[in-house]
Amino acid sequence: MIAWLLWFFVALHLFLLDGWFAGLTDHVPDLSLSIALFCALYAKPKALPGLLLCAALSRSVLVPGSAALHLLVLGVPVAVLLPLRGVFSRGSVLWPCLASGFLAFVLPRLSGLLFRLTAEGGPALPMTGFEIFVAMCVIPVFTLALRSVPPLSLFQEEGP
Amino acid sequence: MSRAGDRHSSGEPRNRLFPVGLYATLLVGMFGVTFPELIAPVESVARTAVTLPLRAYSILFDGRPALAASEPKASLQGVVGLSQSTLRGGSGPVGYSPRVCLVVDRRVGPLGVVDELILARSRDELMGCAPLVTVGHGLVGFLDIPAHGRPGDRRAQFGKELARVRLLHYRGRRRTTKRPLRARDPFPVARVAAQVTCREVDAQGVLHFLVVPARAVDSWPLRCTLLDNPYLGSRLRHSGDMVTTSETDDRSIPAGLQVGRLMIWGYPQLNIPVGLFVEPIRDPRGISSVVVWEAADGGSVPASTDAKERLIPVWFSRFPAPRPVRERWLVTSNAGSTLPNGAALLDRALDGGRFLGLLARPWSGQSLVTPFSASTRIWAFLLRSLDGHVHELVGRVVGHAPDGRLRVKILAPDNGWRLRGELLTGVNGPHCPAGLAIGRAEPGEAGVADVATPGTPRVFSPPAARGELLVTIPDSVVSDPRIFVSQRVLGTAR
Repeated sequence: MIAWLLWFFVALHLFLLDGWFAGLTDHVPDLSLSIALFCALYAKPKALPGLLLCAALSRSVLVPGSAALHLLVLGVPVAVLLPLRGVFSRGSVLWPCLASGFLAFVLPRLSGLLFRLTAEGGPALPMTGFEIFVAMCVIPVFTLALRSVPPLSLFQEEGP
Repeated sequence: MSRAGDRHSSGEPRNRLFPVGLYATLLVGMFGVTFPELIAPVESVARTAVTLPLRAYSILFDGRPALAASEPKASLQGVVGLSQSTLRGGSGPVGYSPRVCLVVDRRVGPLGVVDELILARSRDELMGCAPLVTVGHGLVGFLDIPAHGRPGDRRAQFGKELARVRLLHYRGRRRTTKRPLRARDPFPVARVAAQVTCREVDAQGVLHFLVVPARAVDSWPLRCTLLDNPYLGSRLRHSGDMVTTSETDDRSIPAGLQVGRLMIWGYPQLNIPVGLFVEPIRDPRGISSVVVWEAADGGSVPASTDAKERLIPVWFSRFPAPRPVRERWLVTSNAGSTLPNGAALLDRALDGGRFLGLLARPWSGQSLVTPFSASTRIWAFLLRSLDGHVHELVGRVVGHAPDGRLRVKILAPDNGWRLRGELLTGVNGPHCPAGLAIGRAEPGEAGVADVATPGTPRVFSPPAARGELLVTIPDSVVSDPRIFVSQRVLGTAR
């Protein structure tokens, strides 16, 4: 319960931190990608609904769009990547990088698609190839840092 | 600290890779996107809880109580100029005199475009007015009240509701098509007898036809049907000619009112037009006032229902936000009052009131505001040019120029980006009135015209590419946090 309470309030601060980084430089990728990557690769499957709901709610506070919209933006790519846990090894270095690239490619486009369908949120601002490459390099490191400390470390799937 | 989550997930490989809980959550998300009003109460409570830290930071650090202030003056000049522009050059039926009505809201029709305007006057007040509604030289639609009714001759509630203008491309709502048409119902679909003057080398004359709402697959909201001379229509080669109402037995619609510009769709390289359409002369997303025609004998009963503005003092604080917004503002009602959704946030410290943004989905006396400069929505603007004329524009913020000015892409009218003057808000919802100052606008760059693939149907002689306005917003709005000391939310008293 304490872990859930922590996550409920910490998620918003992650997005605040993301905004603070965005004010410093344009080259730091979206921290939402780290949360989505954690959910897709490392989180306990039964904790996914709660993790995504809290993240979507916090994201909806700082990014235009309802919580339901952000739930779909974060949750659909996670649902796509999740079955690939059975194919790729958790210890692989390449797999988180590829998954980060996929998320960096898909998240803005999915957001744009939902904006066109529902007129909520914002139009698509797809990442450039360079930005996707930076995300592939940086997001796995961010995710490693996130899953090393509570509360996300408490939701991590056990195993190698 | 205890471990959370499932302790037995490793023993259930199928549920591990295809968790039912995740899919159920996504279904809830789809439900929430489809029916947002149903989950709004739950979301409101959850937001109240999750933003508790923000509220605490706002009180501890940079939140400041707003001071009481006088009524906003910024909207007056713009609205007066708008009324003059709306009236200019208009002509109506004989025996009727013009009366300007402000628009308070717009409704999107089943085809996804605005096809209904809600006026600031009740139906009872406009009872007895002519059915047609104009803006300047143009015919825009018809009132949804009987042409020869009297106050009180319909259900009381119906008469007290705000009057609506059904635009020429209005499509009936599903609710109204389920029951048979009754004698006193307003006519469901507008059919306007119109004409265009053909100036082709091999086809000259006047082509008469009916203008009716287009279908969902059509590129423009109005189409031409029942041409009186199909051969003349088949020889047309140039889009853009003005379509006007023609002389008919129906005296309620005078001849010569502009309906829109003729658009010819087909294969220009083969000189084969496939369809004739009409692009309305005004984008309905930008119409902020209209002219109704009331009987000169004073048959209607005017009463004052103009929206009364009030100012709600708020606490204001700003927070960093992820891209592309970069900054979001939290406003909190310090009087504990409910904040109206879509209310305009004003900076009262600048020139008596400057528009900053719109409140989005307020909850528990709080709301988040995306700064106007980072907004992604389509806005209705007014531009008061140097000669005093007020123009209605539709546009969208697309970023910043290298010199820091805001780039606003003008979507309508086509030549709107060439104007220069003061940019004001148009009507952007019931709580965001027209005439709030935004900044000084100058012509920016023209856009690049779309290039069609050879062999595909397209419009004959397409209109010029749209361009951008460069808007100078006072620097302090962007960089000086002290301006946030005095903030007001403009609402509408009901």
